[in-house]
Amino acid sequence: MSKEYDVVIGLEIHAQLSTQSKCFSSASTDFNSGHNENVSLVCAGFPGTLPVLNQQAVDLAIKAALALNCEIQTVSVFARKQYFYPDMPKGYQLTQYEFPIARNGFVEFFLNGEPHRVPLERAHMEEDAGKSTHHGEYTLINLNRAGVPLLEIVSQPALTSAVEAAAYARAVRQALRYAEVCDGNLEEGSLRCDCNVSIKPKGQQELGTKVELKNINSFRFIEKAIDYEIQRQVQCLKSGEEIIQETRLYDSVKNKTFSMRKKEEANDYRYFPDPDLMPLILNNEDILKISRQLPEGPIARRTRFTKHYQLNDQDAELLVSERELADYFENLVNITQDPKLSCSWLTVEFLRLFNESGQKWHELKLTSQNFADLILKIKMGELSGKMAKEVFETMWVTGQTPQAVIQEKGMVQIKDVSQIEAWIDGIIKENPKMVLDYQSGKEKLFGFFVGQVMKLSGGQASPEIVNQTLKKRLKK
Amino acid sequence: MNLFKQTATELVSALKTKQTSAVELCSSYLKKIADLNPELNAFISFNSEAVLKRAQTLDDQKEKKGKLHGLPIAVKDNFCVTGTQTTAGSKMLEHFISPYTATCIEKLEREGAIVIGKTNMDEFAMGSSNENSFFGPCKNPWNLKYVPGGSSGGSAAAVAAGLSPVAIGSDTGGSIRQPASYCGVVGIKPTYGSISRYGLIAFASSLDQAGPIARNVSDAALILDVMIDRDEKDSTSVDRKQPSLAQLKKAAKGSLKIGLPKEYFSQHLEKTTQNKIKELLENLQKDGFQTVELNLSLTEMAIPVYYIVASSEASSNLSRFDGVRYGFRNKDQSGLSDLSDFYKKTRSVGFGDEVKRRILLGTYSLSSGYYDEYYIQAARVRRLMANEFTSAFKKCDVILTPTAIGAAFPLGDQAHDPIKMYFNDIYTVTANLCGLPAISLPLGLDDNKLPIGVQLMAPLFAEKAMLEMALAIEDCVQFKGLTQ
Amino acid sequence: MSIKKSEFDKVAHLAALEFDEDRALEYQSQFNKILSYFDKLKEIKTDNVEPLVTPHGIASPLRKDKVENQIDRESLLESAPDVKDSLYKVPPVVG
Ligand SMILES: [Mg+2]
Ligand SMILES: [Zn+2]
Repeated sequence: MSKEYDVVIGLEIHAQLSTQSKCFSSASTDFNSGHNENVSLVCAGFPGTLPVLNQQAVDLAIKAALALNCEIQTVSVFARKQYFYPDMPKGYQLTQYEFPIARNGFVEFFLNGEPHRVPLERAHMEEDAGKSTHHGEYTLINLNRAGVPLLEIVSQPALTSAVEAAAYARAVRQALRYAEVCDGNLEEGSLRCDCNVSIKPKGQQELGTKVELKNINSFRFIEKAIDYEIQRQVQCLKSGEEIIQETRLYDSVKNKTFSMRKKEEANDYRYFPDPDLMPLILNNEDILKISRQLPEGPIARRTRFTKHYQLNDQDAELLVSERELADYFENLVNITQDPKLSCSWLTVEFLRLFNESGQKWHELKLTSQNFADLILKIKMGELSGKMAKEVFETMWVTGQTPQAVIQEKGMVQIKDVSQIEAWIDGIIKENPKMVLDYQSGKEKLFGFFVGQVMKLSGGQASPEIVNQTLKKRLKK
Repeated sequence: MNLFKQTATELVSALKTKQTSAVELCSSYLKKIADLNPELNAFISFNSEAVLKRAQTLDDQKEKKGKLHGLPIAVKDNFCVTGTQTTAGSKMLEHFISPYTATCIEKLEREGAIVIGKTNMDEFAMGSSNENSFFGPCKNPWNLKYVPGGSSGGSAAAVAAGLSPVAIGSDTGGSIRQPASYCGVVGIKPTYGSISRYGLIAFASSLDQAGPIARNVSDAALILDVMIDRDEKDSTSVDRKQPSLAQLKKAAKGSLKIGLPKEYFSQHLEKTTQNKIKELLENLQKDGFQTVELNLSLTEMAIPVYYIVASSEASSNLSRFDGVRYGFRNKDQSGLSDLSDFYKKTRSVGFGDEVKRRILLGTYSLSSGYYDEYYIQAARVRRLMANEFTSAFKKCDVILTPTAIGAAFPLGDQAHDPIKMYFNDIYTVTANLCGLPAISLPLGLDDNKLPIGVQLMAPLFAEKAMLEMALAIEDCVQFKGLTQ
Repeated sequence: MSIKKSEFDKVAHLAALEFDEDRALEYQSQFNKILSYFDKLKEIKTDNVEPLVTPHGIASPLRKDKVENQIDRESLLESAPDVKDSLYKVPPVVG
């Protein structure tokens, strides 16, 4: 599609910093409150009210910026970005403009096994606006969100495809979630992604006219919206039309982007330093203190998982994709001392139920301790694969220990060697041809015999004893 | 005992010793307000019932610990006070009832002060004559055909006319000192950041300061001392950690050196004022106070710098008045073609002429292409001016200047010439631009029997020296106010 | 410096103000007088001078992340010109 054109994409990601109170007022940031319940006179912009900066918002911004490998600026300044909109109470947004809290930085991630590094221009703090809902005849305004602290992360226009842009956005989310500064929920809007997309004829130096895409609430849609927009711009240029610098909204149902305004108004935000706030001055010790609190990031963890646990790249990447999953894995391994087996149970059985149930991490009943005990039983051959799966599924629901489930289900293992020998002898008698084939080298048939024994035992025979005895009996 | 002749300091002790009660005091003042206000128009609103109820509560308290227990105070109508109509002199807030109280007023109330009413002012504090009030002009009690000055004209007039022992004003470019000068009372603008701005409806954030207006320096200092404090709700408020300003001694003879910037005594200054200041200086010199001539070469830049900075900040501060969450909304919603029409209809009707003029000026100064030329250039010259004052204060302890170019002018006289009007602030704006404390106190009367004022400025946070010098001048001048 | 009609209109639009023709002309001419008076600022050399935004140079104080001072919804909305379902009501924003 874009063989004749270069695609240039830059992302502006707004991340909500997880504070209790708002950026400049002490109203709650609670997402689930009723209409206009989390509003103070400050966030409603009442006459005479003044902003005071939230310490925690600053600390989280620093932490986030460090997780994104940025240089923290010891002096930053909040400016007023001025425009009228009913969900913006003061007629201006407080945002760091000329002097952001962080500059430069980069985000690393793997895409189809290939390492990528996207350079960042800056990250700056600002306050969120309220929420407007449109009802045809009128518009209604809820100020609960007004004044919530955000960190806007601005990439350089260094992304070259929709897939790469989506992978970058995922990596940013991952980094922020690892640093525990933002819950990264696109649907609820705690992470919002605006994409600047332009194209230019291959090899041309000068950048094309950029179009800003807004209203994208999933990673999949980032990809789709950008792809659609590239196509649209290519069509435009091919048919000799001019691309207009504008903001377009993505409609996920129609998979199209739409121009936001009918007539393009000249914006002049008249930024100037807010005289109600003083410059934010940070000292190096405070920055250092926060950097020491920063947990290992996803990329470092991925490397450690492949080296230290000898996991393959795909497994390692899957495990580090969510910090909680990676933590869970390490908790398992600490007990089981078996990375491979822990990884396979975690990525197959565990993730299957986790994804099916749609549970959140904090809702999990299955503790890593109980899960590790189960894995140990499997490792010791105390449970057959089938039994283990059944026990696991019960543990998932009830949160019991494996021992408790096994007892409840009457799943006592049959370790009685004479009983197992009797079953094996019967099977050998009934399948003389198979025995001969096995003895003449068809070793794959071993599994058939194990299966037969398990069937006779109702899955309860100890796999270990079955294996040992079968080997003995099948010898010539 | 004639309550109206008593100073605030005297009233506070009379209240403590039960020679009078808060109820007696408030009802006397309320009666006088009811009698005189229809003509003077110093108050926009007052609620006798609420005032007397609070007075009774204070009288009922056994312990009268508050520093101002039972003292009535008039408050400019740009300070939010819970349950009061708080208009800032604008149609925009004609029916706005504040749900909260400004920190500095709360501090006064906590010491037992009683807000007796809300005083008239130029709309959003923009003006030097009080003629820009949506509620009609306040008059000068010395001569009702003259302006009281502005923007805190109502507060100055109320104190001068004896409608309140003291009053609170706000000063962005002289809005306490100039009306104090025109009305023959004392007005103080403290160092920027000394008094919390939380609850003061903003005009220009980097210039606004609250302050007292009183009949004498000691009364003003008594009120100022209660108002000064660091406030967690105001990021620009500072922790001064300095001794009380309530116990002041008149500056000892010859103890302070007075700076006289020659640019403040230029051709603009009216003859009578010039002569009165000369007379004062001779007397002070007799008392051993040394004077030193200063050069403040940037003085003539003060007006352009001030009007660019103040208008820029105001244009932004007044954006919140949009008819969505509070205040006036134009009921005529016909023919709205888009959202900006909605705002325009409300703002064009809700704001008066001068406010609109300054919003336009400020919007222009901040707009792309002009920002560096106007706002930034003004902010840079502002820095140079502050530096100039820092150097000047190496040569003297206080700077003495006229407060205004002359006495009050007749109502309607300058209403049609904004630039001429802006010139009224020429001697007062520098203190705001540089954050310096400044006081205006009466110097005498001119040929029309209208008061003239003298101004003192001091280095940042040097209120004490400034007030002690003011006491010495007060003693020297022996001014008789209207109520004396 | 003098300001053209088109510029005046743009500034008025940014400030969300409107004027009838006569008033606009009057404002524009006052505006030009004021601006030409302000132009003497350009005489001052200010290279390398740091703009002064606030008279004192304190650093931003910071607030503890604690929820307080919320206003109950009824008191908040009491001041509002138009409310529906406890939300601020304004004319349609889009369309
Ligand atoms: Mg942006
Ligand atoms: Zn933003």
